[in-house]
Amino acid sequence: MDKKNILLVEDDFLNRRYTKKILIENGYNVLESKNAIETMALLKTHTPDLIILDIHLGETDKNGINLAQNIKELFNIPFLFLTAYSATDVVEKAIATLPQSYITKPFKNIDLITAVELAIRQSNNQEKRKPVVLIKEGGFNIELLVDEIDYIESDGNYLLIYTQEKVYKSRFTIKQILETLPAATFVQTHRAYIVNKNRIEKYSTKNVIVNNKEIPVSKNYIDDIKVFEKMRNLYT
Amino acid sequence: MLLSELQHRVKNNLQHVISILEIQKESVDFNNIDELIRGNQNRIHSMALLHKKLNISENVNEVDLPKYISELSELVKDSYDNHTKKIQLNVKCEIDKIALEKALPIGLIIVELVSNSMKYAFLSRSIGIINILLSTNHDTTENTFYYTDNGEGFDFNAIVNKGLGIEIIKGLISQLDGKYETSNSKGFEFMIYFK
Repeated sequence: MDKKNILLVEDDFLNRRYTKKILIENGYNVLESKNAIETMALLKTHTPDLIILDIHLGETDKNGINLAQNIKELFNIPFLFLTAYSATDVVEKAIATLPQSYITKPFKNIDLITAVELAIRQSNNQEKRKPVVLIKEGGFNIELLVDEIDYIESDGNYLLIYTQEKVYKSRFTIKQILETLPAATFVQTHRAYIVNKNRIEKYSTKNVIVNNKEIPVSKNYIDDIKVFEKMRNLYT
Repeated sequence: MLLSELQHRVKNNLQHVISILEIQKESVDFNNIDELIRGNQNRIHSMALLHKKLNISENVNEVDLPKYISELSELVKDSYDNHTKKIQLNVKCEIDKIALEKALPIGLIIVELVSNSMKYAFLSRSIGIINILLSTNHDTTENTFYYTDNGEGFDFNAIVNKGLGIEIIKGLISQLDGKYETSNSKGFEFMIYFK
């Protein structure tokens, strides 16, 4: 079986060297990084199976929790926290990013290794079950892969769901479907439009272009889009 | 200081101790038990002293660097000093305060360098001299860590497989986002530049 690649983000050299040693002894390949900038640069060229994040990353302005949010937005890579923090406010913020696990230092080797192994296996399972949205069309249920959706347009009592191949018509409201779609992938640009972020070809403050179609951007939603675009420009 | 912050630091330090002990395991073949224990005691002392020199009264994250490095280097020197020859340790630190995050790697680097000098540098010298100087360039705000001994010197860049000291020093310099230079022209000379 191929060795799994783990990216270890830890600012402290001795702790990083130790954790790396434990991971290597248990059959993993280890990539290393000591802050958010190095991590984002590394993720441009590498796709590890799992990322282990320390929360305190030296004097840098970005901590492990901010970094986890960026990783979630831009890459579909599972991560877990390995940190000495156990204060409730920090733990709550960390848990809000939905890590695979939260391990506190000093850690027992077996706890780290089992958490790593479980995280990798669980994410393998999830890949097989890609996210779908259940829509009804002409009396039939259809499980539509959300990856295939370019954008969604509201049309009176119906939604028009545009994919590369065809347009599905479904009796949903914009609000209902937005709740079922992954927030990391879809953004509402207008009262009547939801767009798959990964399909945006061009954008201005007034429009985004998806599949050669001009989709309006209204002022009420511009902040959501800006956050995404800013991050994309920074890291890609 | 908040209790939660204190707990965080204690747990972090315990992790450090575990890390140091495990890493040291790799060098058991090259060292006797006395040396292994002494090395680890010194590394743990470097952390304990760090907290003594931390300014907790004003709730800031700053360390009294002159006191920290003079006491630490003295302590490491004494742990090896068998008083069969005179060892002169000169420490000068022009940086009054520094963040805990920087002081920790600096302390560990001092432990490694002083240990190394005490173990190997003065074998053929009648007097041993160690100089440590920390200064700041006020125009560039760059800090310089300058270390010399009057021993025979050694090639820092040729990886020595013993005791892991050099690998640890290099890793700690990277943690400081620093650069280093080394020379053997008059004893062992070592410079680290960091912000």
